Amino acid sequence: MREKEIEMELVPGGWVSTPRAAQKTGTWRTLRPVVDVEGCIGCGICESFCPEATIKVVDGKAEVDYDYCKGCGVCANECTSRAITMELEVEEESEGGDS
Amino acid sequence: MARKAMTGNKAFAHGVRLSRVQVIASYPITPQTTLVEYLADFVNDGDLDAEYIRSEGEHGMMAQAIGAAQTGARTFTSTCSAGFAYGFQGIVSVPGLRLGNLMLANINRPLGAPGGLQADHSDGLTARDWGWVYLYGEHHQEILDTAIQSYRIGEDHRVLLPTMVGGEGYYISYTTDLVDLPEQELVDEFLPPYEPVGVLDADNPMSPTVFGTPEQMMGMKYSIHQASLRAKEIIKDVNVEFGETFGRTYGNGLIEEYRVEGADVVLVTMGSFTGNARKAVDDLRKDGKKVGLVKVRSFRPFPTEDFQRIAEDTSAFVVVSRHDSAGGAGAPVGYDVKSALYNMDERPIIQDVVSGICGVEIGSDDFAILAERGLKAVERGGFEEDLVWYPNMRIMERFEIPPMPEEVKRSFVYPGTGACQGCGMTLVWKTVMETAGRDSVYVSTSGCGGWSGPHTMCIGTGGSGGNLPGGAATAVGIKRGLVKLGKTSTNVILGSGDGSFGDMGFMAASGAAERNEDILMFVYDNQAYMNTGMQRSGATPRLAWTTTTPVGKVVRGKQAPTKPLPLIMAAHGIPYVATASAAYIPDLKRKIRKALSIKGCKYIHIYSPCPTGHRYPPEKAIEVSRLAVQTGMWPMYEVENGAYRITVRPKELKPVSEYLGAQGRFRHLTEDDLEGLQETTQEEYHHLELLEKLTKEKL
Repeated sequence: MREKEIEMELVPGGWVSTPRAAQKTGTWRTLRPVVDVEGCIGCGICESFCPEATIKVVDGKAEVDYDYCKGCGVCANECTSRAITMELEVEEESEGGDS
Repeated sequence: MARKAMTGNKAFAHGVRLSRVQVIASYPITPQTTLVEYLADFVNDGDLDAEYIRSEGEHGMMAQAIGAAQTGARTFTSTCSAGFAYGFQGIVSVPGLRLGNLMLANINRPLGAPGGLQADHSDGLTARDWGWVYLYGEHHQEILDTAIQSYRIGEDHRVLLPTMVGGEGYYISYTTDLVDLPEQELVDEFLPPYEPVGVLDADNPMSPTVFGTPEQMMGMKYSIHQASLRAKEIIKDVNVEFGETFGRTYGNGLIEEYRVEGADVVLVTMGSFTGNARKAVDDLRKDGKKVGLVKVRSFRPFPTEDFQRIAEDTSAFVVVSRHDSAGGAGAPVGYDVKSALYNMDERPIIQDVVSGICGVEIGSDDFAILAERGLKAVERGGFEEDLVWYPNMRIMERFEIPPMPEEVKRSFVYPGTGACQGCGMTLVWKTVMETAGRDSVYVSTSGCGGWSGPHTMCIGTGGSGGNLPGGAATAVGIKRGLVKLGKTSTNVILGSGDGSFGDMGFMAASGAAERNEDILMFVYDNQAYMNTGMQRSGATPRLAWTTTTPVGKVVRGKQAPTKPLPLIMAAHGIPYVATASAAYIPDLKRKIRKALSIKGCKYIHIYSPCPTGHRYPPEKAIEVSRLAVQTGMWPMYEVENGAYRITVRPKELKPVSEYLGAQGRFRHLTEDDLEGLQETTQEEYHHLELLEKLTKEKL
């Protein structure tokens, strides 16, 4: 039997100066927004409606941060150019898994 | 008798139902919320004939429970953690009012900062000293049975004290176990209707003493103390009688002893982790180690005599408290054990252990370690330390905070929140903060906006977490502090949910408005308490399904209309009030900029879609929000110095069925319901147009 231990360094009150994103919420996603670069006009509607600040217009085209995008699909639903489609995430093959 | 699998909160709700409770006062707070949700189901389905009060906060909830109990009605209420603290003024009064017909469920959770959600006894134990009969249940069956027993004990004229039934959050509340559901007839026989002593009744006028002379008060206090001590025998008798009727008893009612005979070391526990301690005892006994266990079932009254009896044949107690007493000589459960034994001629050695607090898991191996330490101490003739924390703590404090990194300062908001897919709250919060800019301090309150991310995790400006009723007050304090320190330009922005702002926190919000405090308050209105799982709030629309306004066989959805928060805030005469929507971002940004350009108290009420609670796919969040505006169900307007102006004016309002039909929470509406809602929507919109016309000259 091993004794348990809690070890940490902290500032009294737990004050922090760096926002700490708690989790890479990209793992929540079942549908993946895919931007059609040809169709995207860079209007920024997707960026303004993204609830999670994970889609941004960079150099005139929408770019998704897949580490954090939860796959809600608001961007695809609101895109007036219909340049975003939601595609099923393909699970990476796991070793020995049969699912 | 039916044996069914159910969660602890459901078992508790059945105990309340079987006790034929007549009035229920409820308010959501995790992890007790599903208990009152199940009761709402029973009531709306007609399975429990009770008045069900969907309260505006625990302070009111406790007062409602007290009022109901004073009429002689059998009364139930339930809370934990911050809710327990908010209701404390009422909680401490119940024993003095001798309301034995009032039972409070404490499905526990840590109390105080920083917040936590899991098992911990710190909330309920704060009510130790007032005269509550405080019983702790270890498992689902015991919770249900104790709920029924509690009224028998409390309503006994020799006691007439309220009972609190404690059960662990998560371990009990949300896990599933097999439970024997007692038959109603047997419960009715075991628990006859309450025969009150004093009641509020116009036919027979009388009043309780609510304020007394020093002697009167001390006399009443002493009678509470005596009644609590008397309750020991009643608890024991009720336990025996319960066993005769239902075939189950719990030790002698006050404590449960396990393999105590011949034990050198006795572990003392209370609550659900007793099961782990029991296994530790079994494991150690297999190895020939003389270890036993006492489970405290009744914390108040405390089983002093039982401990004195057991102490005669025991060398050491290891008392595990699921609560600490910062800076104290021991820990809460150990204080009583030590007091009980101190005047004995010979007494065992005792170690206090603070463990399992804040939801930190303590398993059977851990209890075995603690018991082994006890055995070693017996050999040595004493413990090295009277009080220890377990797990072993190695905490280093530092006092320097590095400045916010430059790359972090480039953005205001960061992804990675715990909010649901398609959440309107994060969208609103992102838009507000980006528009407000860097010279801002953000205050959140408990709820989706407080727990799922913003203030410490994902925001690039500093921010604090206000408590649920005091969000606006926290913002006021921050603003006044900054002003005094010369930082007058900083925007102090409160982002609050509709429930926390408009129900529980309304007093603080109204106070800030009345004093015209220089802050911006915005509400992300998702029209219910979404963070605790979709309970109705004042802002919930009429007829909407929520978990506390279920669509039952008898009652279908919320019966009361929406509380008109923007109009109420405008009535304070503050310089700027506006409604806005997550679907109209440029309009929202304009309103934020305008609000922040004005000195004084500003309020923006923002429609915030909630796919999880409103029941539609997440990608529809903005589409549905837009429909709310287009149908007139979410009118967009601003009130500047008393002048109303509609800011988004649809050429023609769409039928409300287009908006309502897109959401699962309105799926049950009939044609008549839709017609009624269409009518009130038009009336309210017209009312707004009239206000605009009437106040035009002010512009």
